[in-house]
This record gives sequence, structure tokens and C-alpha cells, in this order.
Amino acid sequence: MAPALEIRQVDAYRWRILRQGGMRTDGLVFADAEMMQELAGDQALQQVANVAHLPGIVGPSIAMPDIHWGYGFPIGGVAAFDHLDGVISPGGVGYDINCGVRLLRVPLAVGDVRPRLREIVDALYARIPSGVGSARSDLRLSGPEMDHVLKLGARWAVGRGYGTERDLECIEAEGTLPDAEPAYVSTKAKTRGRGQLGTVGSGNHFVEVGYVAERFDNDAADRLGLSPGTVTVFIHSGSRGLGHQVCDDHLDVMVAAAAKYHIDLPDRQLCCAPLESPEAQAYWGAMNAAANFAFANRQLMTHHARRAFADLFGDEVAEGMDLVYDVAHNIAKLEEHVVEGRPRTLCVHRKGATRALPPGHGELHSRFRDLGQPVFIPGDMGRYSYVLVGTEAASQETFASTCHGAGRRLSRHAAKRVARPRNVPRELEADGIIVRAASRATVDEEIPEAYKDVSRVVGIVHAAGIGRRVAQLKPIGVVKG
Amino acid sequence: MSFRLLPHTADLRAALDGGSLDELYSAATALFREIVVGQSSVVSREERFVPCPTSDQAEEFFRFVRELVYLYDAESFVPCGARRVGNGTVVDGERFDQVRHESHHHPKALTRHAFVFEQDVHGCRAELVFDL
Repeated sequence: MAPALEIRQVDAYRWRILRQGGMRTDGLVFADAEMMQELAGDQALQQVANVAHLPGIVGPSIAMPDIHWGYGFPIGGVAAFDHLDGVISPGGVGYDINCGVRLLRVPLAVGDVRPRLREIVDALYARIPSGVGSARSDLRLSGPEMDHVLKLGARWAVGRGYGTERDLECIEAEGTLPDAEPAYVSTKAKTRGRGQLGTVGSGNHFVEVGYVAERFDNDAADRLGLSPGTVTVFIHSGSRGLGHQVCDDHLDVMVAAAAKYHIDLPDRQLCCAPLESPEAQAYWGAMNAAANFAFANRQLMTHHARRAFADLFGDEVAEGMDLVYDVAHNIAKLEEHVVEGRPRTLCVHRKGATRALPPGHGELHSRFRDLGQPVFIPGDMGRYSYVLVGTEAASQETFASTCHGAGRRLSRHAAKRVARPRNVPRELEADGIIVRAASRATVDEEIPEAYKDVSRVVGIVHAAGIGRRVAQLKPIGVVKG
Repeated sequence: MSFRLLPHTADLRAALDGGSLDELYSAATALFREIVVGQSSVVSREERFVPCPTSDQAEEFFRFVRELVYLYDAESFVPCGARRVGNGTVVDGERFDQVRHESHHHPKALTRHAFVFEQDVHGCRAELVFDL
């Protein structure tokens, strides 16, 4: 049994898990005192400490305020490894490689959409398959076409007419990660992904219609086109079965690699390999390919969301549905960071955490360079979500990372028990929110009270300086996976 | 044989018991069926063969359950029974039917986190965590 963690409060929003035993560095948790008390009941903090055991870790093992118990790495975890003597771990990315969020703004005001809200939710539900076995009947990728998707990501989709060049400017890495190697993606993974491009999936994934309810930074909100009352569409999905299979396939390789390279693991799910090793290079190529698949998936979903609005409001509205930005929150990236005054190349793992580049960062497209990277933090389906931008403080303290969501507080089982005697869709409808889902079980598990209040999570990252609040969005229509 | 769900904040954790290895495989099949379609009736219309590429019983069991995840995601195949044969396991079941089956969870993967496999003279037990 692991020894009890020694935790020291740094300030109102920072806590250090002090290095002990096999830990190579401290843990750093962003949370308030109440959250820390809530975390005492599960294994998330121990997982922060476990990550600190891995070779080549640079800086602390970091946890965001939406941290919760994952497998290996905690959800809401960030860890950076030196590119020469560090490791890469599929468990630090997660099964849903490049799970992420994108936001579209619709050239309509909330008052224009409300009278036709049920129709638009139905149209989104019809056009974007969700739930068990969801697959597109209008797109089934051939082998060579799949490899193009894996190489080109969102650019493949735009090349096929599913979007515009402008869309690409508003996606991390312009929607194409160049290190993708389709040859490292197994036949099984490609089989799982073949019919899943342009589908939501299940679990906590969604397509959500909302509107700009509050603005905290008018200049930044204006720059992003988020006027008060503007209708928005959130899309949350990832690399679907293809990404899950890539993770599974390479975990098997990494279990053997960890033994081969004599890496002691406190949890087998942390299995990893030195970044320079052939095992790591194979995972790197496959992970980037799966990430491109996810970018293409969200791009196709965007196309079908636009077509759903076109059906009801005309082509002009659909053509005016601009992409605000697209962020990944399950990924590892090679990035340059200054550590103790020295520039270093690091492999930054973000598992349930969002990159949040500061203003002036060279990797940002020119349209965002003076603003900082847009960041989207979805909440639960009954309350609100947030738009933030990256900060210099995040760049210095968290390898330019911030939180990714509300974080669960109830298990799925507990949420269902709470929801069982209720009619959750009717309750939400009474609050002006229409929900459609493939099953009642999904809606029950995703009840608003199953999640922490995302405003608390965002309040902490804003107060701690690792994200700057720009606007709050409220949902009016939700399609759940 | 039996299974029961254990507390987990975000994903799905379960403990399984069997008087023998065969029973443990049956418990895993019953658990998986419960996860994906709840109490809906599942009948044996098709079968799938899951090969066993290893002599390590823990790893063999892990890979068997993981294959159930794959079969459900790739083929919407819902299991209702399992028979261990010489070089693998035959799984009986049918494809998910939107009319007859209630959709519950759609596991992304079986994780290696907190995986437990124990076998002694009294039987076998395992603990599994599925990523949802």
C-alpha cells in the first residue's frame, strides 16, 4: 500500500504533493480547499503522485481543478517529459486520443432560434449519428482514403468539401499533425473507425446549441465574434473507436517496453517507453494519426451541423457559421518551453487538460496571436460553459495548460440512482433546454448534478492566472451520445 | 459465478468471482452484457471466436474481456455466453437490436489500471475498470 501523501497548501488555489518514495518531483494541484476535501475520497491525488515517478519528468506532475480519478494518469493531469531522457505514455493521453471541443458561432440571436429549437435539435440528431454502433451510412472510408484522413486530418475533410480554409486557421495545428504515420495504426483500429467519421459517439460527448449569456472581457469576446445573445454550437468528440484501439494496441507494446527499459511503474496503466525508442516512435506516429482522425471527425460534424441549420434557416446562415476555435484535451505534443530560464523541448502530456498558449506565441495563427489561444470549458448540460484565453502565467507554470471541463462528482451509477425517479428531459425543458439522446441511461448519467459546477473550476483557473475568462455560454439544445 | 459493480467516479469498475476459470469467463460475459444492454434479453444467434495468444492466464483473461469491447464497438455484437475451448474462447450472442435491446453504456476500452486476477483452490476472482 502506498504511503499517505504529504500535501502542503501553497496559496488559496495551489497545493503541493511533496516528493517522497520513488517520486522524482512534486505534484502541483490547482484547487480550492473544498475541492481538496472532496478529492480525499478517491485515488486522483495518488495518481498525480504516481505520474511523478516516471523518468525524465520536468517540473511538477500537475493537476487541474477538474481533476478526477482516471486510469494511470488522473483526468485533468498535465506532465512534461524531456525529449532526450523522458518518456511517452499512452495512459497520459488516454483512450480517446484528441478528444476535444470546437465552438461555432451562428449568425443568429437566441430569440431567432428559440421558436424552432426542437426542430434544430431534431435536425442535428438526425444528421449526426450518436449512441451505440453509430456510423454514417453516407461515408464509409476505403483503405487508401482512411490513410489520407490519418495523414491530413481536418485538411482532408476541407479538401472533400466539408468546410473552408478559414476553418483550418481556427484549429490547433490547423487540423493536421505532420508526424502522423498511418502504418502504425492497426487494421483493427482502422476497422473500428471506418464508419465512425462524423459521429458523436457516446458517454459525455455531445453537440450543444447555446448562446452568449455573459461576457467578462468585451474586447476578447468581440475579437472572437461572441456578441451578447449570439447563438453558438459546441461539438465535443474525439477519435472514436479508432483512437481507443490505437491506445489499446500500443499499451500492449508499452507494457513490454517498460520492462525492457527497466522502468518501475506504480501502476501498469502508466506503461511507457523512452521517447527515442522504436516503441515510442511507433506510438507517436499512431497517436498523431488518431489525432488527425479526431480533427477530421469534428470537421465533418461541423459540416453536418451547418447543413442542419441550412435546412431550417437557409444557406446564408450556414455559410455564416464561423468556427471560433478547436482545441484538443487528450493529447501529447512536442513543445518548446522555458524551464528555469532555459528553453527545452518537452513532450507535454495533457489528459483532460487544454493547451492554453499565451498572447504572442509563435504557434498561434496570426488571427489569435495578440489575443492568446481560445480555450473552451464545457460544463454540464443544464448550466453553462466558458470561453477563456491562454495566459503568460500558464506558459510559465503549467506548460501552457489549463482545465478542460467540469469534472464528475457523482459516479455514473450514483447519477442514475438520483435520476431514476425523475424525468430529466422534462426538467431541462422547463428550464428552456431541449435534450435528445440515444438512450435514457445517457441522459440520467449526465444529469447536471453529476458534475462539479464548472464556474468553480473556471473561477480557480482564472484566479490562479492559468486561464483568462472571456464569456459564459448557456445551453438551449443538446444532442447527447 | 457473480459480478458486482464497485465505486468509481467517472468510469466503471467491477469485481467478478467464479468457482473455476470457466465460470470467471462466464461472469465476465454476463457483466459485459449487463454493461451494454442492462437486463435486455440477449439470445445466441451468432458466435465469435476469441483466440488466446498467450499462456499467461491473467493476460489471456484480460485480452478476452478486451475483445468483447472490440466486438461491441466494431460489430455491435452483444455476448450472452462463453465457452473456453483449446486455443481460445467461443462467444455466443447477437448484434445489438434497437427494438429489443436497451442501450446502456458503450465502453471505450478495458484499462490495465487496477486490473486484478487471482486464482486459487477456491476459484478465481478479477477486478476490471472499463473506460466509458
